[in-house]
Amino acid sequence: MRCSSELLSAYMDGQLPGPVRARVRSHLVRCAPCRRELAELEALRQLLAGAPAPPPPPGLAETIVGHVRFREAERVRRRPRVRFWQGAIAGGVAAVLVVALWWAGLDGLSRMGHGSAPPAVEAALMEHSLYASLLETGAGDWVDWALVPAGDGR
Amino acid sequence: MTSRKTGPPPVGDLIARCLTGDVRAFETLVRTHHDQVYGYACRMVGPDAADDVVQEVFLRVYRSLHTFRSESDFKTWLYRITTNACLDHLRRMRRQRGRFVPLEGGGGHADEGGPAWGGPERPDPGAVDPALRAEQRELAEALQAALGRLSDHHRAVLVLHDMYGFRYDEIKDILRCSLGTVKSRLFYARRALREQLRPYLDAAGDWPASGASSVS
Repeated sequence: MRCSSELLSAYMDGQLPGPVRARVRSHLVRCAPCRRELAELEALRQLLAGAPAPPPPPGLAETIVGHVRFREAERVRRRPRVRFWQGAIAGGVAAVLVVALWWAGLDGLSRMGHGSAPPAVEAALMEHSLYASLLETGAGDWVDWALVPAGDGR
Repeated sequence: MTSRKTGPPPVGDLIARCLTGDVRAFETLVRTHHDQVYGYACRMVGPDAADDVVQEVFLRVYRSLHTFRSESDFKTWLYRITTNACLDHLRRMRRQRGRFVPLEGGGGHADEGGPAWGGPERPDPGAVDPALRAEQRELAEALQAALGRLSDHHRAVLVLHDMYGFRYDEIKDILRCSLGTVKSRLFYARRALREQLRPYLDAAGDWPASGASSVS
């Protein structure tokens, strides 16, 4: 087995599976640099675990509770105003959207009937549809076909 | 009438009471945990910013108590919120000041003449040998500076494991990462710290004061 600092770190924490742990242990018996490294790692762990905890400044608990109370009171105080403005803005946006959709719908409908093709084509289509509907309803019986160009609607 | 000495109520009870609007229960929760949270925040963002971060932590705790599931571990949940608040703070500072954010105030809140982070008892400055005090302070500052040079995520793993005694699987839950990531970050953090603190490790890793207490 080759030297591995990463394995030594996990070995120290007891995080290696049994077979790997056994291999590291037997490697340590033969490898002085790895033994030194493990000793340093253990010294570091001891140093960190023994480091005195930074004590909180006096009165921090009271400051925290006061801060939370203040921020919550502020939130409650703001809430209705925020809701009113949110409602007003949302209502306004919704109204604009409804009007815009309604307008677009009207415009779209009118465009379906008119102006979606060149005038000549549109006129021909209108004539065709008119004759077709006259034929379907039987109203074509009293149309003076002499007036209708040959090939149209018949 | 006999008075019985009791510890703080179980966390589950406190949270249930908090959710009914019981401010006293929240105060108890803060008093029970604020010193540990403060210590961790100091290691993560430095003592100058730790006060503000701890206030933010407990505000977040208060506002998300309803999301806490009773089957989860409160300490893991609390340290997750604290870690996130610390990382948010550091990100904000980096945006404001540029890439490197030194963890200011490495000496902590030590009084004039008191040991740097000399433990919760704050020993009487007169009772501590000045040479020993200077040595303690130097080591505390070297440690905080070395921690400050680690990346935020490496520092979090190292502090949680080696200073606060969390297990790998708990750190995985706190940081929401894989076990492999925890293992690898811990290795890199230790390697960097070992290089920087080598002069102090020669003394078999002991703190200069025999009474130094573990924080884990």
